[in-house]
Amino acid sequence: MSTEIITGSGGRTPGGIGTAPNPAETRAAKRLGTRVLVIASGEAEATAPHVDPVVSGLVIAGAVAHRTLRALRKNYPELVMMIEPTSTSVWATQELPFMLDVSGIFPEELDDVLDAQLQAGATVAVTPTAVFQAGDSDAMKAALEMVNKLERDDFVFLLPIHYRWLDKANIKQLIAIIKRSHHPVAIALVDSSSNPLEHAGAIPGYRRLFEAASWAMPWRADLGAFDALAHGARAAVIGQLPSLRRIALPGKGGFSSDKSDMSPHVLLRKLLRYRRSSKMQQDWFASAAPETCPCPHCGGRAIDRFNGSDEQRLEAHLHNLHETTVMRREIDGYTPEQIAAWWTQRLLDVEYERQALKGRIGVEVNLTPDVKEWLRES
Amino acid sequence: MSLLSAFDEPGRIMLGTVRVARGLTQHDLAQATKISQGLLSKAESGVVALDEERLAVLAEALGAPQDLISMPVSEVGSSPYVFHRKRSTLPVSKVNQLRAELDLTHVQVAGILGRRAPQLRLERIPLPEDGFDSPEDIARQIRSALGVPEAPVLHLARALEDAGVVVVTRPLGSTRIDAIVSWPTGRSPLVLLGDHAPADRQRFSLAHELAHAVMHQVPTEEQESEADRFASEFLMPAAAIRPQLEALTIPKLAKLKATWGVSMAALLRRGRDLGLVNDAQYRQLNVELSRAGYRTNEPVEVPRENPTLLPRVIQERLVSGETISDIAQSASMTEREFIELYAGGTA
Repeated sequence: MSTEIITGSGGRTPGGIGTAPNPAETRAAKRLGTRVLVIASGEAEATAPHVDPVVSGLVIAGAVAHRTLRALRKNYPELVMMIEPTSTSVWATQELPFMLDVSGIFPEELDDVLDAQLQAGATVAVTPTAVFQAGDSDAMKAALEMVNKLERDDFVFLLPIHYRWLDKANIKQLIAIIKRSHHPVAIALVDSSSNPLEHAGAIPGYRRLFEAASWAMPWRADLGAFDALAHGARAAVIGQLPSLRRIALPGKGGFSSDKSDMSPHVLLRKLLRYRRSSKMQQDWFASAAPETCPCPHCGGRAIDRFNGSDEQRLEAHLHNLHETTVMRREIDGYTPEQIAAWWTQRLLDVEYERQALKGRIGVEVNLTPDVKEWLRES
Repeated sequence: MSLLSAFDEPGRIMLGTVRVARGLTQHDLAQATKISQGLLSKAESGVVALDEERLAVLAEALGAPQDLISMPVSEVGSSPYVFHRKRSTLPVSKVNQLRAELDLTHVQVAGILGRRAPQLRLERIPLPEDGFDSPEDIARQIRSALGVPEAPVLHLARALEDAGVVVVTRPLGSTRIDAIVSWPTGRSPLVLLGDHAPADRQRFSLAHELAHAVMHQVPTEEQESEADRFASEFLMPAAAIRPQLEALTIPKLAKLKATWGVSMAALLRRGRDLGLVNDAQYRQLNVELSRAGYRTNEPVEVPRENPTLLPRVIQERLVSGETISDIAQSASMTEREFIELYAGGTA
């Protein structure tokens, strides 16, 4: 897996009218290369200096994303940066599959939204796609038709999909639609009550999708991004916060096991899981010395030290970014088969790490449901 | 489930079809008529022609007109595949019997309707191999083509009859099968609907069979789930039912059953498939359905739908001066069988 850096922005589809571009040959795909990017919102400015310019990049979410990107671009002219243009989620319809302002005399067009991102400094633009309800293929096909009509190749077609799209009944159609896209496709999973990949059948569907698509990437993912890469995804975007690792159902908020607990979710790379620092303190390290982390942000300090302050949360999130960047660097230059083998080995190693931690602290350390499922399906 | 026709070899006559439809083996018929099994076999496949005397004996034993049993199968036409909705494994002999009964019913219906047959407003829309169009997409296309609004289908059987689909409700001889359909080239689609199931299940079966007729020309591994998905979208269009499937409870399911004319179990499954009921809620509500005994006996009775096309045409023909005997003859049936199957058992 290697990354190709291509500069420049904007432009029309090469090949002329009537040519159906191969998504992998678009400028958007070439600019993204095989990066594993991070998506951040309020912490975007503080995160930018820590983003690896070769294997990673920064996606900025939230209502002020354009302004943030414009400011950051001055200091980071070469960094791959993008905007997620949908700061709230609404359901897509056949008439309005994109979130466009159609209220004025001159309704906003898809091109306008993409141009605005590029003008703010985005390396690649992203479609402002609304959320597709389970099985609402009419709306998704309408969106596909609209993006395929655009005569440009500098954007990613974002598909926020209800997790039921990964069901056995729906996945075949989703793949057929994605395969007809002339543009790189980014898949964001939508769920408000749990991890969208924990639903029965979701992981096999997710894998099948990336195996079949000619160019697709997970968007707002967690470590499932690496499982997707091991199954054919070309690049990935990992969320800095739990709320940025999925999209909430329109009209419903995200979920939290304990809303009063602001301590951050910390990535434990060898266990392939995130765990809240407060839970680590209470459940794992109440009677045993905590694990330490040698990353530049932790500097050998305890992995469970983070409290709920903004500074500590940012520090934890930068630790997380460092860890996913390490994982991405490990597979640099790998073939798809090598990435798959690497991922399988990482999954197998989790059991050893789990047993080692359990033996040291004397407390049960469970595999997460998605690791279990990844192992079972591997 | 689908079955390739066993009755459409060149030269075959309808004798074999009638025999199988009556639930008889060649051995049974040979014993009843004293005609050797070997001769029967050759006669069925058209290798030898039967004389008048033997034809009369066979017609008597089978309760069918001589014209029918000597009719070449090629004149009747037979669909290469039939599809049936079954509740559990059915013996092959029973499936063959139903299939033969379906072929005979095609002959009967064509004879009864004659020029009064409604215009067919249904088209075949095969599922694309790559899945770009889903069964739900095709269900929406069919709804639209038939002018069915995005709301509960109040009388499904009538809607299908208006589109040229013939629906015949009768005992199928087993509660393990709900319906069977075929759509031979040049004929109207015909659904034989078992009369044993509750009305909500009958409606779902009817929509399921419509799905087979429209989407499936050859059997596939996924055909049953595809037909169920078509039926779900046809009877419970996502655009209309979605808001009603939020925050489902057992009492709410019962209320929705009365509105939509489908079972509580089908509504719950629809809620799950549309992403309005998560896996845990789905499991919990299913447990509650079981605990209340609703898995086997649901509350809320959905009004039974009786097809009206055939009774209406028979009535028209009688009013125009034809007799029961005339109509039975046009249907290639004995008067007795016609009365039993199409005239409510009484002349």
